[in-house]
Amino acid sequence: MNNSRRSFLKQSSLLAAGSVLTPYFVSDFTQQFEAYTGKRLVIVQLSGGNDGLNTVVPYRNDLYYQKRPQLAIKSAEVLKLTDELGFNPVMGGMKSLFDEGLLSVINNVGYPNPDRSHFRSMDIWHTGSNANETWNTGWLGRYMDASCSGSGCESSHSVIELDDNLSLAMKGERVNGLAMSNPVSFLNRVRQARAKEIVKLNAGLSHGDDNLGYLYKTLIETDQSAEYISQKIKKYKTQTSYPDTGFAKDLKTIAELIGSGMETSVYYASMTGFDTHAGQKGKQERLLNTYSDAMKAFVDDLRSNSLLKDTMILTFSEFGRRVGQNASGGTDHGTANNLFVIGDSIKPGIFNESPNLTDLDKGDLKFDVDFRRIYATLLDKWLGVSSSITLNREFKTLDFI
Amino acid sequence: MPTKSQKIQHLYNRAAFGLSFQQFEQKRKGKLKLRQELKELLEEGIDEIPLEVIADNPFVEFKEDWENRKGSRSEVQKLFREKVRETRRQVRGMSLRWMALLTDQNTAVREKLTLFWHDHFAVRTDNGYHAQLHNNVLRKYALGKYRDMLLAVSKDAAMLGFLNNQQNNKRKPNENFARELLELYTLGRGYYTENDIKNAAKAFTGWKYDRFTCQFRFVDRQHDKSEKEFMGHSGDLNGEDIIDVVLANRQTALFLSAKLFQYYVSDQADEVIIGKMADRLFKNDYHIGDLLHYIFSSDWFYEKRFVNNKIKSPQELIHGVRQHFGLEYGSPEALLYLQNSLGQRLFFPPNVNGWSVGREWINSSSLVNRMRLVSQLTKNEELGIRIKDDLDGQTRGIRGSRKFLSTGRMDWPEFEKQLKDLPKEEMADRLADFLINQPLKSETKETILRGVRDQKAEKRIKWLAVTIASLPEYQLT
Repeated sequence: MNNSRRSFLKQSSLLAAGSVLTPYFVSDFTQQFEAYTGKRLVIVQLSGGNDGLNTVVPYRNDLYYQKRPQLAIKSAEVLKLTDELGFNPVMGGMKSLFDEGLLSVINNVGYPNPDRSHFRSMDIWHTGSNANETWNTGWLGRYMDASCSGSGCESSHSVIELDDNLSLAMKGERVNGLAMSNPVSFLNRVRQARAKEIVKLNAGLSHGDDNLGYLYKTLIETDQSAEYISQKIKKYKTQTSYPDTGFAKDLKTIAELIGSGMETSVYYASMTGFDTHAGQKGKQERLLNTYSDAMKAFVDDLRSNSLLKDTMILTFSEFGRRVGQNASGGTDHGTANNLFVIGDSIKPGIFNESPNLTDLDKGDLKFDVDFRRIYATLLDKWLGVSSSITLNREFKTLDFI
Repeated sequence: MPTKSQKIQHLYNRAAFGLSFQQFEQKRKGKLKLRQELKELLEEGIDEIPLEVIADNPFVEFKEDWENRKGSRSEVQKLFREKVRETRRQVRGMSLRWMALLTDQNTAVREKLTLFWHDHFAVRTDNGYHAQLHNNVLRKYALGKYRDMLLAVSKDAAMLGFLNNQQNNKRKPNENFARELLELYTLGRGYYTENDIKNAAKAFTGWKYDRFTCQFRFVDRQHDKSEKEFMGHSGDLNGEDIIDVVLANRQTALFLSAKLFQYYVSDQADEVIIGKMADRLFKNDYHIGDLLHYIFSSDWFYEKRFVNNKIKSPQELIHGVRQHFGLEYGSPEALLYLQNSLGQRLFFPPNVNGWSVGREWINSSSLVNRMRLVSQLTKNEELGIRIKDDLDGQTRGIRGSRKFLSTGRMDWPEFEKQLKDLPKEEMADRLADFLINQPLKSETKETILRGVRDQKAEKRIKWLAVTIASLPEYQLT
């Protein structure tokens, strides 16, 4: 256990003194599981179903050009990664990460019996369930649950989502992640909710197992997280300049939280608008450009502060889009898709075979990598927690790490 | 043991969305009996007012052109799709209309139950007209017999579309509806086999809706007339037979009772009480209105362990605040913003299982947003909550409507009228009785009273009310 962690333990037990809140960090569970190992995972969600084929373009494939007479990207324009695949021309930032050996592109990721509804498919990605199951806890929520021992659980800020409402992925049976757009607004809200006064008002009162007790415990925990965050963030401001976009701002916030020494294992950010049924070209390019520039700044920032070595970044979308363009200059909901893993401990390059455009399932790409194998790899090989407990099933890990 | 006044409030909180301050004061001063209250509430609150945001079926006009092949079919198809999109945009209006009915004294009891059924069947559709029809079916049968409800829902366009019974035919059966019928609407997991599902699906083959009239039609040539076996019954069973078989199984009564118990009484199941409810339901032909009356007139419903020990759903919180404070929003869009930002959007249940229950609603972020709700509304300040993109275009425009919140008006004059001459201790007591239906803990009360700074009665009242509504206790009902 490092020092800062130890001092926070002390701090949190002081804060909790007087209440019967069980201290989070009690002796024995650290042996079975320690939520914060120093390794961090950042997850970027592209909501709406990003068109993977115009992100990583199979620029040598005639079928691609046949099926997308207006939408296809000319082979002269793509940023070539291999002699088959290249990035959309607006993704210069990602191209340079690729060239530096920091990026792994994994093709044909999906799951059996794909669902083309946004909300169902997103649920499946968030929970890690099969397509015919509905689960009410997320894979990262269960990751936090795994930290619970008989006497307590890891604190909510070990998983942070950059948003005001918590996504399903971060809801567990016993522990939930923390959602905040940024530390300042979160601290303001905690203040507006008068959390500190109310906690103080009830210090010394015992909080039972009824719902009121649960609310007070959650409030105390929230107040502790706020306290912890406010202590941490004072110390650190990044020197890197970021593009002026909402998404880049979120990544900058994450970089500052990481840089200030927060003991948070998972950060989660989203970009939205990828549901390009009509007029896709301009729309998707603006989005990919925003994504790529922000990612470049973020990785540069982490690297220049030696923080990249302990950070891995996963980017995914709930599904890809159909191979053929539609009549409105867009693409409709599809299935398998590519995704990106960034870091300096990964096996860089194109991880597996390019999408096969000749062997389609009713016009959609077939998957050959189950997305849960990617989760399993990140859990087992990076975060160091047993994936079979977290995913409720056994999945073979991959060797991109 | 809760006092009579606490019991009366408990009844109103659970059967509807609580009382206004004026009603509370009237009841407090009056000599009303609980039994009489219950009678009035259940008689007055059950008017049936269907949603009519889309006045007429917008699709039926295409029927003739389509069937007589007037013009090109692809042209009709295109116009049809545009019409579907148009109806989708009207769902917001439906949401607002429904929210008005939820807090209307004449409809609140029926509407709260309609919300239960909306969660129970958890249908989501892209077609606004289907959504309206479906919602009106729930409303119509809400207090009636479950068999009628189940049959109507099984023949309803939104349901047939949502669970793919539209694609269920003799050649290629689709089991989606049959599975959820057994798992989520009647028996519950563990009381049927995969073989039962297969046979039930066959029995529902050919149950479809007409895309133009949006009415049920039975397509005989797609119906599987073979011999089926289902839970000890065999023959050429159809969908109605399946429904009768599962209703004849007491497990269905038990399953429904457990869900209603969770909705109206407590998220901690009490097997003995649920068993009693199931007996009643089963004996009375699954009469839901009768069961509701049974719940609210039972002594156990008013036991201390159940009063103020249920976490409000976002809809309960939103409408509770509205009732308590006589809140009127400058723009109705504020309500759309609120239901989005607190996470329970009418017509858009998150999945087939419906919304979260109890503690699932609470995490650090949601708790602070819920706790600061009343104070932000009172200060006419924005909540500033980022709304998650729901990816279907429904949140577009609502993101900006946070500003509408700042135009809300609360009915402070009513509070002043009743409380202005009281000493601050009594003010606090009365407000606690009203807002959290229990006295403040003595330490809490002392600290709160020490915080009262203003000498002016109106400011005191406001400060005390907002402070009490900011306590975690206010998140419970």
